[in-house]
Amino acid sequence: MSGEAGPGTPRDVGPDAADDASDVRFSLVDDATAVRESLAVLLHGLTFVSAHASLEDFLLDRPVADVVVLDLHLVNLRQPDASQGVAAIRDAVAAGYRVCVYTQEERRFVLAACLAAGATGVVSKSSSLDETRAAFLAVARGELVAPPPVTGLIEVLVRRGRVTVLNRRQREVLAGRARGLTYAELSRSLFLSESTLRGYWRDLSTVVSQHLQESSPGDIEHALGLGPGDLLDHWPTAGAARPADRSTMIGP
Amino acid sequence: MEGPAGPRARDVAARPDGRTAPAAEPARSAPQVERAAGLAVAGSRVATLAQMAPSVVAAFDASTRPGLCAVTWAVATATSAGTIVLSVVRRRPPGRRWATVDVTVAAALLVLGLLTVSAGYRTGSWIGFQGAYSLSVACALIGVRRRGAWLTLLAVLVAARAVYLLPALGSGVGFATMAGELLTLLCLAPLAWAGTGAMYRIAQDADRAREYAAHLAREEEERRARTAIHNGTALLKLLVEQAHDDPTDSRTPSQVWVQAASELNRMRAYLAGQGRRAAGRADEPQDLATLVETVAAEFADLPLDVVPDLARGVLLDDEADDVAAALRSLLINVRQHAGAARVVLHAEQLEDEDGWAVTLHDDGRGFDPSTTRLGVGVRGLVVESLAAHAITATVDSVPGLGTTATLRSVTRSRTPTPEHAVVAPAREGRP
Repeated sequence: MSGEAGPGTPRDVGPDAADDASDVRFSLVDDATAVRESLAVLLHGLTFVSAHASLEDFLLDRPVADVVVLDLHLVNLRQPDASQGVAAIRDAVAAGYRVCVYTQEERRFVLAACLAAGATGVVSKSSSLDETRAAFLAVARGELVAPPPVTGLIEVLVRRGRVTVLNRRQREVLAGRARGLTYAELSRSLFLSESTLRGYWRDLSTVVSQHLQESSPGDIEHALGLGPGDLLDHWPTAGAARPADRSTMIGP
Repeated sequence: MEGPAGPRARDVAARPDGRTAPAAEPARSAPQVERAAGLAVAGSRVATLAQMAPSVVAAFDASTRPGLCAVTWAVATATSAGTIVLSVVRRRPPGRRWATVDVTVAAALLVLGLLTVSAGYRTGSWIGFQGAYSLSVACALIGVRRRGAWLTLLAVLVAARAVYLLPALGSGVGFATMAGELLTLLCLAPLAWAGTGAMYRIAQDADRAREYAAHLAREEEERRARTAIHNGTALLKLLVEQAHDDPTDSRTPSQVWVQAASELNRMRAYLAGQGRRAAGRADEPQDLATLVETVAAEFADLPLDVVPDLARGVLLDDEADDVAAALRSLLINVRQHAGAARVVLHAEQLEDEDGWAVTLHDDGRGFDPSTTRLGVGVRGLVVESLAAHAITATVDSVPGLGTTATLRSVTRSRTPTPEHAVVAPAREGRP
């Protein structure tokens, strides 16, 4: 479980290195014992190199992993001071890991905030095992993974000119994903191969992730037509993690 | 009047709640024109008799055959009375049969006038009533709508009038007077006939327009009935099927029961004749994003993601209720048939055109559109209903991949602005 994974090491996985699931190494951080013990068994074919109850344990161990699968809610009676939420995501990203949030959280602004904190993907725990496996592998390939409500927010940012470096094909793929269309369906309507579409999505992911991480809550609020301060409790602030980040996204 | 009368359509009238209902009394235009024409004929014959009356004694005195003269006056009076009664009772001008009798009598009176009226009284005097009488008979031919029959009867009258006048030529009646008498018949009678025909055609057009409006109103009412009961029927079917499969299973999603109750209220409101929208909302436009969210909230049992952000500020007017009903119908279809793990309801204001679109996608089992006909709900509540608002509805599906339904309303094309261009220019700083 341990290794010398210095900053940046886990991200050295190339975009196509995850095509073979057995080559990708995952590490799981979840406070639920049942999840830690069962996920690797249920997602057969994926390699989980470690499982941890808290991010602190994970960072202490520093396993060699391509993707850390991170639960958002990590505080419980056994670890009341555990880092969680966007703070945990930022810490994991700062340690050089690619992060896939695996959560029951469904509020789209909270999920978008996870991407703004540096997560590459957010996957619902209510997803089927096949969907979960595919999503984890997509994150390993560097693809942005988000449910349609979050993709819809990104579409708003693009439509309103906040995210601008997108070409026509990338915008078409984004529009399709925001409507829930799969690559197979998009392939039929756009007359492009699925691998080409995935390429557009990967390129788009980089631009969008960078924009989200560089934008202030005020920028996003303005773009989405929200009131001032509406995102303050969810959105990560620039620079060091705030103490409040440790408890964000837990309340209703 | 012998014109073709179309099937009687039930007239419709607008009710205060905006619905249409059959009026108590049919109000068609053609019968009213017929009645007016009948009264005109009766009135003209009464007027002729009234004009004849003061001269009756003088006529007998001036006639060399007073007995025969009295008979002609009596026959003229009786025939006119018959025409008057017939026109009033039947509420229309006399038809071809009575007109034939009337013309025959008038022609006979003209011929007999050769014996009873001296040449000097055949024009410009009511002692020789036959001339004016034949004119009133000619004008009464407006009830004969077949051109050939009318021309024949008019020709008989003109010929008889000519026979009546010819012997008087040179004995007090000049050629010009005689020609004027005949031209009076040849001008006034066609004028009356053509004018009545024009009015009758206008009335028929009005009746056809009214029937068409009634037809449209009936279709609209039927569509509204389908709208009111279809979704409720689908929900009842869902509940009945579940009860049939396992009567002890009480796992029906509570949302289905809630929605069934909502549809029940909708059906009861329809049966009670209440307006489609609640009071006070009739003229209020609805925000498309809010409408989509409201409808989606009724389907909490579905794995439904709602993406309405790009539709905020898009306002719907009269079409709002039909759009909501269409979305409900589509979502009920998803619930019943798709077996979807993820459903996405996306709404947007169009980027390059003035308009909006709503997309409903599910990743369910799908179907082959080339071999599968759309159901009654999708065809009636979605495609046909929205077409009335110029909203196009398309359904695309691939077996095994899922189904995508798109509602799209385009008011007019728009030239892409820089912000809407395919490749948006980079911006510096905050906008």
